Amino acid sequence: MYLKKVSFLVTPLVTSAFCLALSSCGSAPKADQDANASPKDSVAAVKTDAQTEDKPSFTLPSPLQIASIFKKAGLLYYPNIANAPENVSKYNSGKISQALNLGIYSADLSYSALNKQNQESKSYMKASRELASQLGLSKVFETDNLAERFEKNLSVDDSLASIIAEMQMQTDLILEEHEQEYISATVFAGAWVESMYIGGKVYEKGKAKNVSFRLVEQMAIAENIIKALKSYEAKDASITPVIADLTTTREIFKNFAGVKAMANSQEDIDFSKITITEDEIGQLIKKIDEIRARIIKG
Amino acid sequence: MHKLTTCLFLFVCVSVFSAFQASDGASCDSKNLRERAKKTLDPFKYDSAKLTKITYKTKESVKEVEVPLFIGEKYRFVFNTEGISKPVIISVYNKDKDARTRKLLFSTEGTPAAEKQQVWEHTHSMKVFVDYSIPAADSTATPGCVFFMLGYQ
Repeated sequence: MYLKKVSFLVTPLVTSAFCLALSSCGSAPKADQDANASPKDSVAAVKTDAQTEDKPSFTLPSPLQIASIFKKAGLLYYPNIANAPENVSKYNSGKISQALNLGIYSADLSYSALNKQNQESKSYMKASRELASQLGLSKVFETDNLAERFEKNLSVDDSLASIIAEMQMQTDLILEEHEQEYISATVFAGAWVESMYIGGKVYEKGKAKNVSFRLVEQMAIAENIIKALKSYEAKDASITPVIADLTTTREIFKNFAGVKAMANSQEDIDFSKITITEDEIGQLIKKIDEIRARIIKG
Repeated sequence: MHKLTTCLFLFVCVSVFSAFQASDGASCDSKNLRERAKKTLDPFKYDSAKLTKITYKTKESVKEVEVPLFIGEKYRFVFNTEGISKPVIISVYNKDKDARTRKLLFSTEGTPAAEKQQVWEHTHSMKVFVDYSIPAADSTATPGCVFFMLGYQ
């Protein structure tokens, strides 16, 4: 009888304790993309035996910031370099293709908006909206009347940039809320390729040294895009060829004489001090052209 | 006896429910954290953001986030710690945790725990590493999150 009573009291407690333990487990990051690591041997590191986990965690810049950096470097506007907005109808062969091309159009939108090309900006906004809607991101444009505000502010340079930045924030939020960060990384991969493509095409026309420096600097970001896409590769096999393309681009860059010399002489590559030849820039541009052609084909 | 058992059972159920609520991110409302950080980011333009989940372990632990930057650009970093139950020290370094030596660029060490939003501005780097030093706590400590937003001028 006593045992029966004890059991009656203990069973729910044990069950609840188990549930509690389970709830704590469930609260851990699902994909745990955030790295845990100990700052060892650092100048001002925490001097404790901190627990570590090795998964990488990083941020990726916005397509608008990349466009803004190229613009500051003297990147001029040339019509017909960017992807034609009417190509949007071709992109219906899966989420990865749509995400990559949304990235392409995001870069084109930033390029045209920062260069005050109002009509083109409107067309790229429309194309981006169409693709975003196919990816379940139509809410981005409805928040705070962003689409409407975009149209109204077409002639106001800084407002337009702020609205595009706001759209980026809303996109990041929605994708995070729906645990679709892999779409975010894929969109950025597309935007990066298009920014490099535009930078390369404009460089070929004017050979501006500042633009070539910015093209080289972007290779540091390529490393992070590869890491980001690799961490999501299991989600969608269509990501694999994108990783392969970007990895080849990175290898081409790593084989440049100036990059090799720097890699051999120091721990981290300082992209600001790398000098590469015109022929090497040409190789990089050629590779980007090929990747971009594959993406925009749909 | 039966009454006592029922009361105990209800108490535990409420505790379990609260734990579920807390661990499911009641304090990690990304949307609200974003809105708050965005206000502090102004007039810098939004570039990127990262919500880092914090779970307390029996030993101190560190989570690291790599942040790529562009040379010559001025950046504002906004950190929001409203979503955590125990103070986390935020440190920014020029290199990652595996580097032989690295330079501390910014730290919230010594900052009153009541200050939930930290702002730091930086330029002249190609990348920085944000480390969250999570104090040791028993496993019942409520998990939370730190929100980080980056803006450029």
